[in-house]
Amino acid sequence: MAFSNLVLQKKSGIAVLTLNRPRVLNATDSDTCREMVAAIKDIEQDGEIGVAILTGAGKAFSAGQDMKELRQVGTREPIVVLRTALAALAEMTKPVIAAVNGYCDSAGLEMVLTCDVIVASENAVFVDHHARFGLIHGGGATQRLPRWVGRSRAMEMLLTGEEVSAQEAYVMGLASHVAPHDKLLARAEELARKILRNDPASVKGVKFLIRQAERMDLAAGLELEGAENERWWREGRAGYNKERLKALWAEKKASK
Amino acid sequence: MSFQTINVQKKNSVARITLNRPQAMNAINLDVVTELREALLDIKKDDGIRVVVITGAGKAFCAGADLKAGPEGVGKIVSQGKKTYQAIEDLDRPVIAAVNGYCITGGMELAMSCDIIIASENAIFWDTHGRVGAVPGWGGSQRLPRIVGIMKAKEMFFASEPITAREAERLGLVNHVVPAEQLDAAVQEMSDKIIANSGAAVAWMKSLVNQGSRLNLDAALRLEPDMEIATPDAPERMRAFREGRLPKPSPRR
Repeated sequence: MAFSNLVLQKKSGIAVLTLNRPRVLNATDSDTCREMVAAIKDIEQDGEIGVAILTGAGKAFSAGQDMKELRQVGTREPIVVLRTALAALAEMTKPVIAAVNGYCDSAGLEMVLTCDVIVASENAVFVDHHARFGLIHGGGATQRLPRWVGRSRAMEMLLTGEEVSAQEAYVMGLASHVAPHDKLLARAEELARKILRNDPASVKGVKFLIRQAERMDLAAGLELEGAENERWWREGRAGYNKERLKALWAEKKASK
Repeated sequence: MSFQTINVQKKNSVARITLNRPQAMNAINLDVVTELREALLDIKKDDGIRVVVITGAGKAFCAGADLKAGPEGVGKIVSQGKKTYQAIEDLDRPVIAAVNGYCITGGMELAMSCDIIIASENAIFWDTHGRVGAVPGWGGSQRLPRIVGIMKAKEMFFASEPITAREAERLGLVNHVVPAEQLDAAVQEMSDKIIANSGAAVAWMKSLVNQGSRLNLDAALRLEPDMEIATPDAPERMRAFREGRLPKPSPRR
């Protein structure tokens, strides 16, 4: 697929989606958001792809919404398009790894918060500037960030607008890994390959259950897990897993 | 306004509330509960205030409900206190707990009702409900597990052992730990950062985070605006950014 604001590359089961407007620090204007929706649909429908990686070209991951566009057309229309793109990302059934290569600001932060795992370059900076500009979030940060890092750290980030380094993001559990800048994509791909080794249906099932857990209380979540587990065994997935287990076992032995 | 058990100081858009019963380790009695609520009501009406700080005089931040009041008295303090604690969470301005020392039981619940906790190195966090034979009445049993996780919260409740400020920071209960003599400066720095931002956006975000934490994610996401994300502060602030200058301060909270 050809895009003008994005690059979509596919290789050995992994789709790498790159925000590609480095001149404007990958600001997410409406065109970029529309292309993202199309790219996500393409990745979801591609049977060869098991994991997606989202990253940015150049120095920044994303500087957030395109201020120039906001100035020209106002804040209303772009936020609706952004929300559509973020919803599409959040609803992906395949795991999405955010490989945060640099500056990750406001809507950029909201974008990585819809992903499943965050890997950060040591140059990455996480920051939110809504309060500086007198804006309020439409992309989910006030709801997703406290769930990810806890209320008071989220309050601090959103109320002060101070920058959080990759290392700080790692300490607060926002990023799972910090990699040297030139090894970032390799690190994200390594993680993707570890996921790809596993049964794709299991992977989807686990992601589904964890995501659903955010939408319900503990009792309902446990009930859903129980029901999914029962269905899993009933539909005979166990045999399939046995083969996978054998292969994994052989691989473990060989590596010893 | 003048109070007996607390001290309120307003300076440069910051209201600093000091629990002022050092001889009782700032334990919370009926007067404290009432005066705190009055102070918060006054701040709510005062558009000049952008950030509230709560701290304690002397060695302790707060030792919790004053057990000297006896079983019946404590019951009254607890039920009146609920409204005060809720008023902190519901205040449309951020509240920073500057934990200067012992932060025990109801004192921990007080700190957890705030938005950001900055602690002095010698602060001690301790839940003693188990030792006393009581259960939390100011939200501790619900807020602590949401902040530090269920396992650690249960340990703090069941074993009832004090933890240091550093340990509290590691658990995510405290945002920052600083040497005792730098506590005020650290709180001031945090306040300044918040005041530099749009007061309207800050107030709105506080309420989004707090309200959203009570809901499931779907319902919570619906709290954020559908279309209009700009507060009245936005045009001036975006213009200032473009022109490379500082924005005019937010007119009101």
